[in-house]
Amino acid sequence: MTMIRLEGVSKRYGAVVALDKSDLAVDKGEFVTLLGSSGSGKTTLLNVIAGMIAPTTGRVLVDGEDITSLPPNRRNLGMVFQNYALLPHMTIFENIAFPLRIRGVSNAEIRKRVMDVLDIIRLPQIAQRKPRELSGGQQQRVSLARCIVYNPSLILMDEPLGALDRRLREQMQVEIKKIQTESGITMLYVTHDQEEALSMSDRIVLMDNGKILQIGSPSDLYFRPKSLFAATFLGMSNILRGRFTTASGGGICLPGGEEIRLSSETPMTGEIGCAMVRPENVKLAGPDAQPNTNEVVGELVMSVMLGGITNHHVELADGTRLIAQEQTRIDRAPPLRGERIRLRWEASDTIGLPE
Amino acid sequence: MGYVFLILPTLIVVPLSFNAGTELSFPPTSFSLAQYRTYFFESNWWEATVLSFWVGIATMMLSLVLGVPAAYALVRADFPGKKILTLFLLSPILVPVIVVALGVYLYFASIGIKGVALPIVLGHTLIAMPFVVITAMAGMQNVDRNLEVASQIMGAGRLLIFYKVTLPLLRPAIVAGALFSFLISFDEVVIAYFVGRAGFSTLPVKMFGSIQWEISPVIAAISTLLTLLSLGVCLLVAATAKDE
Repeated sequence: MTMIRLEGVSKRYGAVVALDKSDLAVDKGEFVTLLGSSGSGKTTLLNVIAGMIAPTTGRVLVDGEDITSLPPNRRNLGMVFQNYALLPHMTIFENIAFPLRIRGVSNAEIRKRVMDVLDIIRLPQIAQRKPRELSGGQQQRVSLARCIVYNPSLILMDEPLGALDRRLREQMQVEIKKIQTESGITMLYVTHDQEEALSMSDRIVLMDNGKILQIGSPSDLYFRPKSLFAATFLGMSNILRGRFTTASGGGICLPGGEEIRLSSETPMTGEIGCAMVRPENVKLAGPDAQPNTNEVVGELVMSVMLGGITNHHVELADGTRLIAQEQTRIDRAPPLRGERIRLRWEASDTIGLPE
Repeated sequence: MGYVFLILPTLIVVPLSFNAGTELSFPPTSFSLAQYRTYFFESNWWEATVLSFWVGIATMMLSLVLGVPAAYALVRADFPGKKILTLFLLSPILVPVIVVALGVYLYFASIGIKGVALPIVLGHTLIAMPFVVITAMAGMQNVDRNLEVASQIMGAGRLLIFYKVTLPLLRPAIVAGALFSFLISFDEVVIAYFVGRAGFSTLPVKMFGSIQWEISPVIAAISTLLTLLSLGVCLLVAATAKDE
């Protein structure tokens, strides 16, 4: 069931297009992330949904009802901010009770519901404290609780973990995802952090320059990017530039003459384009040839050991740099710098992309 | 040192106020509370004080009611001419008080605003409100806009947000503005002298008159009390500011 639907929503400021015409549907209980760098239009999109920005064109529907012209306070949405936005003059109890008091809920009911959500965020003992007495992570959980408590149709989260340090951020990702799954909340999450998007989302909406580039599950976006931008924005990627060939099954011809086979046919035969393969799919290979694989030969520039994995940086004759990622093995001597290395990967792991 | 040099003549009234007798004399020759007794019980000084007090309270109220929403609008809203309007609202500070007083006097005379206190209150509000606007605008810098946005998305209307979110956060600024506007009115001579009616003087005006005609030593006692009042107000402002 669709909880929120955007139809042809756009926003212009004079000649500047902050958000190009965009369509998006989020299902009930789904966790959808708007992913993009600053200026990508993700915050504009969020603010259009929240009602803080009126769209230039298009409609916003919540639960089938057109809310485009409703003021923010009548949309029954929730929003979590990067700086928590807890009311500093109220206790945690009063902060969480605030949206319920606005809705005229009885005192007994308020007490019960506030204590319930404090249990959900596992902070039942802090009801009488003031926001400034809590840590950043605790404040953000309270901020989420303040949304959950009045059961909004959708909770918008605007870079909620941006102010926290890395370790706490990872804990909070797990925590938020758990709360979201258990309470069946529909969530629209904004972040520029690709790992955050990959680890939490049911679906990711990749945005750049005011446009939605691709919508899909984390593995869709990671393994089947539709553009060079998507391929390079999410995770590490190896890009080989060349010209698409007519070879059966699809292929790309590199400047050096090697042919790289792709996972699928490409409609862009004869055009300049790229082949993309993820570092974890590229292996250091022996001399024995194998069917259905791609092979290139280059010179090892360096090997970087990152604990469990090691990245081998290999430079091809035309200057292209590829990374092959392997599990670190203590029982095997790493290749030497300057050594000629043969890299091999499956055709099925190779994506053809337009330039 | 320079500051001490400037402030010492003000403090000289303190020993003078404890001197007995019917004339101001320095150094004091005796110690008594006679001047204070006269002020509180044996003269019409108390009447002037009560008038000043109510004028001060009314000025404070009016300044807050006009100044706080004005400051809110000037900080939050975005409209053409905002800078000019700000300057206009603060202009009574820039104009010499005597000019304001003369303007207010001529204006009230021509439109016929009458009564004992009303003209003084209106005149004082003119010069006190800019201070409320300034303190409230400074206070607004500490009210995170996201708090209002968050409250609005939670379902609160504008009025509710103003009362439940903005005003409580502005409280230290409002308290400061209130105390200052009261004090400005309570101390003010020129406007009160111009628009006041004979026989109904505010305390500072009566003191001014008294210096001209009789130089009563009671003035020393009143001056001491006024200094204490100002000091108390400043300490109160500092205390509320620290509290938040």
